[in-house]
Amino acid sequence: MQRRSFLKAVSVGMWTGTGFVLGDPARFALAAEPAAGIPDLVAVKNGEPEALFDRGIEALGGMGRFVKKGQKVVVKPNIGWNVSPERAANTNPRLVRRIVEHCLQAGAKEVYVFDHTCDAWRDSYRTSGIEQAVKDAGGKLAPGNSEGYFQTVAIPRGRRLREVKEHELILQADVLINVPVLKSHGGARLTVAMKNLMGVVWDRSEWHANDLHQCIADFATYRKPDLNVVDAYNVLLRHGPRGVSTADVANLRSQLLSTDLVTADAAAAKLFGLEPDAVDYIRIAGEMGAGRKDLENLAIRRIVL
Amino acid sequence: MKQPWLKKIRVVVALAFLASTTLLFVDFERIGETPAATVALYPQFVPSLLKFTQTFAWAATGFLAVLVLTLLFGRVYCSMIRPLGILQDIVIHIADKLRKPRKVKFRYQKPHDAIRYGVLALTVGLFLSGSMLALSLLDPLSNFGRIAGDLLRPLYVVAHNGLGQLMESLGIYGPFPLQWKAPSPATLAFPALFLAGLVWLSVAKGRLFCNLLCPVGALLGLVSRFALFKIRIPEDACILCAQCSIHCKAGCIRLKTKEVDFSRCVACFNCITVCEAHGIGYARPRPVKFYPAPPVSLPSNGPHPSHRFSSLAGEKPDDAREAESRAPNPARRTLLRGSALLLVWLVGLVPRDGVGIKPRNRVPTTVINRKVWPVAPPGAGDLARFNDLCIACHLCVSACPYGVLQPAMLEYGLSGLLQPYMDYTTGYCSYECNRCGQVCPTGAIRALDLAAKQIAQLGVARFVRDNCIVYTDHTACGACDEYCPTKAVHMVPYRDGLTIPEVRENLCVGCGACENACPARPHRAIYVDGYPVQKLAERPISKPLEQEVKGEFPF
Repeated sequence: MQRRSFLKAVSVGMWTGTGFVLGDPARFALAAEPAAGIPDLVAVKNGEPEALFDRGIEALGGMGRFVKKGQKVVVKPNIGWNVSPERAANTNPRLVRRIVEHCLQAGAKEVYVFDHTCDAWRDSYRTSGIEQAVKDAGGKLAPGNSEGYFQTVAIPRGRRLREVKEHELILQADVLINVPVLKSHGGARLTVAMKNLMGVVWDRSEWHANDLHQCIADFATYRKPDLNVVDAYNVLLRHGPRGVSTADVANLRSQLLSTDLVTADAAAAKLFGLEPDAVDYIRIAGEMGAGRKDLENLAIRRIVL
Repeated sequence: MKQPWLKKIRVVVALAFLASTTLLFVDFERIGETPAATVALYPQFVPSLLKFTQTFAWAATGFLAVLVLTLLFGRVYCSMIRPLGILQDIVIHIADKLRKPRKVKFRYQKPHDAIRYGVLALTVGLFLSGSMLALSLLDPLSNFGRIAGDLLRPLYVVAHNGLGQLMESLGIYGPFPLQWKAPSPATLAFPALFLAGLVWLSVAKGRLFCNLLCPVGALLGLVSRFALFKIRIPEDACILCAQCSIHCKAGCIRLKTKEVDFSRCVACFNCITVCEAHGIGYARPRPVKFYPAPPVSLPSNGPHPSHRFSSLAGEKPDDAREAESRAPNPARRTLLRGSALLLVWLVGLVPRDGVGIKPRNRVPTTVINRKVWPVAPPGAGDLARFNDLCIACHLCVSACPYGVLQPAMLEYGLSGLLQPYMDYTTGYCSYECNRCGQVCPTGAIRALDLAAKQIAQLGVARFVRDNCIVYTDHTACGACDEYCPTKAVHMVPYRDGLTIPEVRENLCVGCGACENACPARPHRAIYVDGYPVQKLAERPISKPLEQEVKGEFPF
């Protein structure tokens, strides 16, 4: 029903000239236009996940800047793996909980949380602690494990990726909050905000088969989350994205917040100990204009708790 | 002998067993770890017997309980506990409702002792010589498991997910979709053909399967000859109305001699319920002096009273029967010829690497992967041992949350037909899961605890560089490394800043996550070759990180 009414709205919108607002995903970027005095990037460290977020979002103008009363919000953490929170292969459940709470406080009508997991979704949702966290906070878990939930969308600026099947919740949401965890990655070197969005599409294998870095960058030109919150509380420094044991994890107690996912990735790369351009998809996305990776020219707010 | 309550008990118990067993096979998540599952599986005869030979555990003494029950009351097992028997009863019941009412529902059938005991001997003989073929094709639980797990489960999943979609259209997420990974279609032919045959046989001949082809039925038939209580027709009450005989699904009541062939009786108690004269029911054998045997020769001035009813009870004269059985039967020949052709077709359907797969990668891969050994589930240990214990009931296939366990065609050879193997094209073995060993009702898959399962080496990953995307397309991938739980598969520098997989065999557990994730087609660039005898992998050792705590932000 929602899917149908959405499509109807798009087609009606095209007739009446409001198609741009309804149909163009760039509206997400427009909605997050930085206001005066608000930094491009907020970096917080030395705290627990909840405290890091509280201070970070405050520095970015508060959740009310992103979530308006009655809106439908999607929070997209990384729930890829059937491993426990201390292994840091999934987004920290405490951070997810805090974000859902902030959204509801800001007046969100519904807050959905989902991921198209790598391991079996039931195990991953449960073991990651995110299922419980979302329930406790009053959010709703949605499944991402069935092709029926995904719809084909075009990627107009994509070079390798011309179309993908994207989760319907992303199409329906008023606000998208991307909450990746910073990790090492065997194939892509690093996984942060852009790579986390692979979890909103159905066929990831196709990306791997068709120039992974280019596909990640292509998708970043299409879908711009309103807010990216990089969980760098526990960081999987090697053996990512799944990790082998807690010996692979460093407790960095940090968090990065930005409306630009390329900026978030560039800063995360630095935090990890890599130059942004050493990660191909960050370099390509920057070159394609999907976002800004030139940290030296951006307004950065650094907070140490 | 007023014992009409017996049938009521039978129906209630049977429906409870059927419901829990069916649910176990179609939606394991729902009841797999509840007492209902334990109760449903405990008395299943062959699995329990096989497990007992492995474990000598109390939990595996169900077959003893069944033997004791049979020694007391006959084959109660066949109508109350064994799901395949209950399924036949339901088919018979429905067919009866659909048909025009008829007086004679069933006829007395001759015991086919040569066939039923022959099947039993063949099954035991093949089992002792190390082949499970006869047992897996004929065992009632195996067949029920395959009907419920292989045929009914996909329908259940479709219905369940349809409901999910309906709820989604109302804006509610839930119930979350279930997954069903399709096995090789040829393996579905076995339960499908068996079910068709079983339905036909039940509609035409009642419980003939149980007294002709079922090895458990034959064995319990032998045991029930010695039962303490038997269903009998004492001389005094019977009015020769023949109701018992025409309602007997097993065709084992012979009015001529007022005998119940208790070795074929499946204890459905229908005869007791329909007998208005209360002339049939459970009774202990009485001393001969109270109930003398009926006279062998009769007065010549009329037929024996029972002869009046023999035509009603469907008994044909013996010579007519013989002539019937000797005549050539064209239908049977067609059937045999058809089955032979079917077998040839099925063998042709065995999947081969890369056949019928469209590549999505730019450069289709060329090196064909030849697996020397199939990969058996974790806890199978030695392939020969595993193949000798598995009855192919497919409970593990239903229970596997990752859809990696699939029925084999000829991967294990003919005697391992339909036994589960690890199909890494449909799934992979989760590092955090040991469920198949926990649920295996025969002990063919040993119940390893998680720590032991995590070092069970089922086989080893083989990397085929010439098929790898990094090599053929010169772009990054690393899907195999991403999924590897032990980092046996890890990325090493290749060229131009790219990395390419490498396998450390000592760390590989053969879980197939790499093979499953590999996007190269039609032939994958990494695959797991099984071991005939599973080994132990080294535990992954993680050295501590040299963690730098920076005071400043690096930007």
